[in-house]
Amino acid sequence: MTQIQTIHLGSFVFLSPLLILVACVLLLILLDAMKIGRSFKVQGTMSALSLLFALIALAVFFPFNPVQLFGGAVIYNGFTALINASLLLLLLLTIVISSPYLLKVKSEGFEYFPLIITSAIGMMLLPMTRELVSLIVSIEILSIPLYILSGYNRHIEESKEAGFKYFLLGAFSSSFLIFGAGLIYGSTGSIWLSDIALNLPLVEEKFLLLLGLAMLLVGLGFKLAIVPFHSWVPDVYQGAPSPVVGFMAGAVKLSVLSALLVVLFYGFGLISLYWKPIFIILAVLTMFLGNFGALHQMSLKRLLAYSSISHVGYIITGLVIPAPAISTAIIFYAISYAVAVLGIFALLSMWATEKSDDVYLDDIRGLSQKEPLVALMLAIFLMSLIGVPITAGFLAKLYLFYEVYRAGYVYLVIIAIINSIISVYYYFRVITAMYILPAAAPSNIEGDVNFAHAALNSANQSNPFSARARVRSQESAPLNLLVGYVCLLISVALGIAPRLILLLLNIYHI
Amino acid sequence: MLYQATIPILSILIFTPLIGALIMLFSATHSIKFHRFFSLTISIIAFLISVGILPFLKDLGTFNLEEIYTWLPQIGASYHLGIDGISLWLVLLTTFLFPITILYSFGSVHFREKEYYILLLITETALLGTFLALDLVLFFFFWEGVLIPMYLLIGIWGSGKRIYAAMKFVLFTVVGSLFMLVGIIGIFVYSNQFGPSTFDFVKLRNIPIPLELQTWLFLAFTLGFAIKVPTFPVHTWLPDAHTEAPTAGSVILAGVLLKMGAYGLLRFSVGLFPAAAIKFSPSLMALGVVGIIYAGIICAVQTDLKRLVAYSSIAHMGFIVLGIFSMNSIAQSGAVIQMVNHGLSTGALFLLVGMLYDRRHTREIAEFGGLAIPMPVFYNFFLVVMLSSIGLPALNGFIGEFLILLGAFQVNYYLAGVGTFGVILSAVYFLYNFRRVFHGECYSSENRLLKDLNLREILALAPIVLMIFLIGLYPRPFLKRTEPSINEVVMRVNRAGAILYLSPTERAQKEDVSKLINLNLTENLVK
Repeated sequence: MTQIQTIHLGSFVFLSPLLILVACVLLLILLDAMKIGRSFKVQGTMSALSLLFALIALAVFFPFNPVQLFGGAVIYNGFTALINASLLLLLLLTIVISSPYLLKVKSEGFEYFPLIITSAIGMMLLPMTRELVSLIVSIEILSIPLYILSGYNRHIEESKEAGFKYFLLGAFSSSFLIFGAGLIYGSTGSIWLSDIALNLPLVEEKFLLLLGLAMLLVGLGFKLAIVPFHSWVPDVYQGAPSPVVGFMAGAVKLSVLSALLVVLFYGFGLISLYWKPIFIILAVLTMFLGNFGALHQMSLKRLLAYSSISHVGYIITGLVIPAPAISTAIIFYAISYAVAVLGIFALLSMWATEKSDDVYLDDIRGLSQKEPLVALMLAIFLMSLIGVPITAGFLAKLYLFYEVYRAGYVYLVIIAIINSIISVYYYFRVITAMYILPAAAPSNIEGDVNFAHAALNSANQSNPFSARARVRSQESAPLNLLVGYVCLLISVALGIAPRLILLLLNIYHI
Repeated sequence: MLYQATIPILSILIFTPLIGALIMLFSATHSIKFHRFFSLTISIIAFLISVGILPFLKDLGTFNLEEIYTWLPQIGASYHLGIDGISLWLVLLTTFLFPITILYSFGSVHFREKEYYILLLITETALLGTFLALDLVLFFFFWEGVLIPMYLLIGIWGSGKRIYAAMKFVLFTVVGSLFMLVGIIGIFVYSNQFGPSTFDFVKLRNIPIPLELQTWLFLAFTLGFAIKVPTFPVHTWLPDAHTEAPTAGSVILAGVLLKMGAYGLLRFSVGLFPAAAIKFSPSLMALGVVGIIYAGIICAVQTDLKRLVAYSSIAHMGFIVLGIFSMNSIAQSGAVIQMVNHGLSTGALFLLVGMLYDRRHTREIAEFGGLAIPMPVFYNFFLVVMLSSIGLPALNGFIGEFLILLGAFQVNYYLAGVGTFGVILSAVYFLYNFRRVFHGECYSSENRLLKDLNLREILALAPIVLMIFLIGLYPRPFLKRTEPSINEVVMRVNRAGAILYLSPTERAQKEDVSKLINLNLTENLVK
């Protein structure tokens, strides 16, 4: 089927947030090449400013009516605008904590900001696509910068390992994605989601179609870390730089989930009979594996990695609901999760050093005494992840479980509840470490990075309870604290009065 | 009334402690004195407010001083508070016990005091909110709000295996409360058949729910409440939590926290699912009685004084469960009064044990003996409180247990008869251990040198003892305010029971009719 390719220049103003970001990336690379403004502060400020402009542009050119671009390959509507706004906000907060972090880990080179913004461009484009090739291209734009960023701490072994692992497995999953798209094209004769939906009833040989869909879902599931495509998560989250993890844990999920919703409901809604049971099984597996994996982690970043797997599990229970209105519950959950996780990683990145960027449970013992505010914020973010009231996590869970229950899947709700109970244990381990356990270790190793690193390695292998106190009170980390406060504010505001955002999400569902 | 219309007095009551806690959190001063007296003042203000609303309560059969605001229209939750004859006493009990525990804590908590008082005040807000919320989501908000402060109170200021005990407390509570959440979602989804879905208790209790669904929802709610009470098979968190908690924590746990469960059973399990409650009442009464006897027997062989009080607490809560599921107004009034009584007497017992522990740093019964000689004032306080806990006539415990057994006998001879043995058992274990601790020769020199209670401790105990006598001698004002609300509950239960015991066809007709009636009712409410 031929599409009439007309480009109305006028409708491009709606893409101005994206264009501003592209311009910013080009400018940053160019300036770097010309050796102008080579400092993290300058680059960070420039990125933050362009993000602010992008946010303003997004608000000014809000698509109250859906805008079709590139002959319908990209549809920019209220839903995607909301997703984009949340992504921009998350990125802005990440950028704010990035420059102090890069200084702290003594990073070389200035690719960080262009890369993370490029990744965000891919994320923003992804939910808009209505065509499989654009979808694949967006996913690649999203992924490749993240592969590089995961290995960005070149002084740290784990980071290199993370980057390499993520890249290999990610490339592998991309090939599935492309193969799947090819099979779908072969069986339905189109790569346009709307045409696929139209042609579905005509497809007689279902096998190739389903194989193609399955492969497509493998590719998307890898990005979301759905079990059994999750194995990269713990290593990548542990090794990758903390701000990057904080960003990608939430933002990738937000973006890929909305793309998944679009693909499933606009492209393959008719054969939901086939993919629904798969998601039920995968959701159950993902929840259980994530939660059991997290139970005995000593590394905080690994613990959060497993917990992120389990949260994907909760979220994809929502995919059993046939109505597009489910997007409200799913996106609200994803946003509340993203904010809490970003807040946690903003605080964790305060404690990064040149040699290590990981925090162990023993490190944060007695934190409530040394830095009461940081401990309080971490505790509230953890409560949001558990789903304790006054935080966004509770209302998100309530809303999601309500939708699943209403659709008649009571057993899924009960399984999710059992998993929430399991998860309470490991989140409370962190709270116990911060509030109840006494500060560990003699403080004579303070400042001795090598010693701390050696202790860390030995602790990794033999004795996880060896006393270490790597969390020193920093002179000041005002930007990290600022981001922490903002995330806290958003988390609590969404937990007490989310009327506005729920209203918006309800009006502009997919 | 102008007063009701203009001042959201219940919100003020609930959030006074929280605002106090926030002020303390952000105050720059590290002066311990400031934090001590500030928290004491705040808790006294909360008490005065709660006493101040007493004259404004009229006709306690319905909810008084209601406040309704739309909160989350997309989710269907509203901010709905109200007070009736059941919640009134629990609110007063809460605000009454908090100043006392804070006053007591001046002498027994010696590190991280600022955090300690902040957590106590947050707990108070959560407890008051639990008793006053009439919207299930709001109720759940406050219900879960108790979790983390209590966890930290036990975990930080506790003794011995405190982290284990705190984690056990949290996991047990969370299991119950999250299954309750499923129940809450369930009733919310079902209410969609009668107009827009709602979490509002007052609307929900008019909705007729088919028996099968009622059974499941009842079980989901009751599991949460039974764990909190705690009822017999799910009680194992309580001895650990009570024993390891700091004294103030134990007082709050026993005095008020357990009442959350009992209150929930009466208000929500029975109030929302009367037919299922009738169906399950024999088994729950049986569980109550098993708890009474089982805990009583364990008490008799305890060697640790605090564990003794903890187990006696399970026995007393067994009486309350027995009373609630006897499903008549005598027993249920008794249960409400007994909730208050138990809060007073067990709270006081924990205070007394705590005072002894502060002096002697042990709770082993075998270590004591002849304490009546060095500590006469302490001895007398302990005697009165213990007798009230046993249920001696003229003291408060008698009124509650008597009414509960009176009501229970009308329903089930056997269970009530066995339950009566619990009263005897409690006399056995308390008097036996009392003799071991206080009477006889005072051999040990450490015991002989123990100091008697000081003024602050007497000030903390005196109000409780006063209330023990007041309720014991003149319970009329208490019962008078409870009865209308209880009658309302029992009336609904009887109506549900009438439908339940009809033949299937008759029941179907009746349900259709009541559905229609209620449909109109809910529509009117929505308008």
